[in-house]
Amino acid sequence: MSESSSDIPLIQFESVTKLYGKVLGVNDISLSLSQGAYGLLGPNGAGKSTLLNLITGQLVPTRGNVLVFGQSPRNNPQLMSRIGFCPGFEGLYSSITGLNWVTFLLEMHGVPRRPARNRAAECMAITGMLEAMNRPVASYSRGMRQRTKIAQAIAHDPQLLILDEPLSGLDPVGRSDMTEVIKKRIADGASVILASHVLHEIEAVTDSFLLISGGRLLASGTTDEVHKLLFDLPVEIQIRCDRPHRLSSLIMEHRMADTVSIGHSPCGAEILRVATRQTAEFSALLPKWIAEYELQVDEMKTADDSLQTLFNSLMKIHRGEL
Amino acid sequence: MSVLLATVRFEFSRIITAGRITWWFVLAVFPILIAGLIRLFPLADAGEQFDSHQVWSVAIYLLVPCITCAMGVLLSAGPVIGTELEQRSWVYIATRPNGIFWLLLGKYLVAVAWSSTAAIAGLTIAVMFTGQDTVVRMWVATAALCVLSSMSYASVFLLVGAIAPRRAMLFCVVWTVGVEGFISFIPAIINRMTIQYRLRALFVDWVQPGDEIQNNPLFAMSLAEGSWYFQILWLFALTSIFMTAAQVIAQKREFTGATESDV
Repeated sequence: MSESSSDIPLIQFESVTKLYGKVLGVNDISLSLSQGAYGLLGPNGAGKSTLLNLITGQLVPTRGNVLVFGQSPRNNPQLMSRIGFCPGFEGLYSSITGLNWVTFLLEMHGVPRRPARNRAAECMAITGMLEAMNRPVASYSRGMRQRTKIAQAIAHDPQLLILDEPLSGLDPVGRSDMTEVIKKRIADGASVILASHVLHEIEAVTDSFLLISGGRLLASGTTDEVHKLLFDLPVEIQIRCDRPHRLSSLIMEHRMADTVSIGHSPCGAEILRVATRQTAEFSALLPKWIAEYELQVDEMKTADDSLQTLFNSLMKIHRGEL
Repeated sequence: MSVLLATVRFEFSRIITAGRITWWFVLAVFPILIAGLIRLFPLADAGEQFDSHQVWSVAIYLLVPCITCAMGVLLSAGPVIGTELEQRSWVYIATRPNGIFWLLLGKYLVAVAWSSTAAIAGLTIAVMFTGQDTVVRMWVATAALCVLSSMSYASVFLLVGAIAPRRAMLFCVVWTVGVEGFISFIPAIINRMTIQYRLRALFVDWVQPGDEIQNNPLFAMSLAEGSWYFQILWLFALTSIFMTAAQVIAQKREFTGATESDV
């Protein structure tokens, strides 16, 4: 009995390791992604580009298997027609116009010249390059090159769009425009893998993500799913008060925190940072201390609930700090 | 085939640059310049040993199909993979269906056309300096040799470029001097695998430089036997083998645009 296409995972990694000589690219990654949009998140040098090169078949795993739509991506022409790739570097021919370049890449998919040119112009318009598309790439700004790269990636209407740092080099308007282009592709049913080291870029597109660092997959799933894994992690609370040293000694005397530190805010005020797992008890004790020791608390906040918190926590676990 | 046509058209549009056009003219002018110098300053010693037809036949053969064509494809086919990797455009092609195959084939055809047209343009004027009665025959035969030479050397240089993309030009020069310049003259089995060995036989057959040259011990020992179509068959076979090897290497090797910092 054959599997229907919807049952086939979008991407499967089976114990995949990639070594560049003695340098570790990715380390024993196993994952299975169903169709949808995913953010690939990790700091520079985490292994994001290696992972994407494995997915596009540019690299062969040293160990393990990579499957995309149930097929090996290496030298697989049929699969390449279903994948659109926007790499993290430029690599555009400077003497060629953006329109001619996108047209040529479409022709490489077997699209005849005239329809290819029309579709290329359409995609250049979608990415906001209509006016500049007949100029040589050498005259483009970095943002315009980025838009052109995205145009070539979507031109053949791929089922899987792989974008490596697609918003880098774009101004805020460009970021917003390209985010909308990517979201439109997702709404139209395409699957997207978006790699970035900037959290809000991914948050703007999807809440499903893969977090990698040091070539290892640290976590995957939605923000909520990963938070469930982290319920026992300390919560960081920032307090701005008149006597932070006194408050910090009270916290330590009552063993209310894992760590306490005093730093400075951008305006120079002292900020007390408390990492605690006993948030309920701490919340009950703090008003008592304020009243008893006549402390003046001007501001108190927990770190926000964005992916940044999650990322920081996971990185600390990975480094053995938690 | 439409993909090949698109690739060839695109690559032609890319070589229409001031730099590449200048190089094309430099290649075309090279045999004209040398032929002009030979005309102005005839070689006295050679004149005593060989007649002018022999001198001009060999000179034109060395200048055009050997040097100009080899130089032309060295410049255009050798760095095919290296430049794509260097400017990081490789990945856009590699993620297209059979993209690498069509790219190499398209670039190969453009390199052959670029080199052989420059060589034939140079030949057309250079033969006028020869002042021979057989100028038409010499032009037709040498023009055909230009196409065969460009076709064959381009495949070799494409293979060298696939093996050593970062140092393609250097290794192509080493190959040309070592294999085509030296090994092709060794009277042994190994010289039969060289392009020069086959081209020389075609030159003797088509241009008919004269008995003195054909019977010269140095030349005769390194001259392929068999009819002209047999030599052409050999050249096509060698070209196919080199091209296939280049394609296989390009497909098998992990060329990415990534540098170590992208890991």
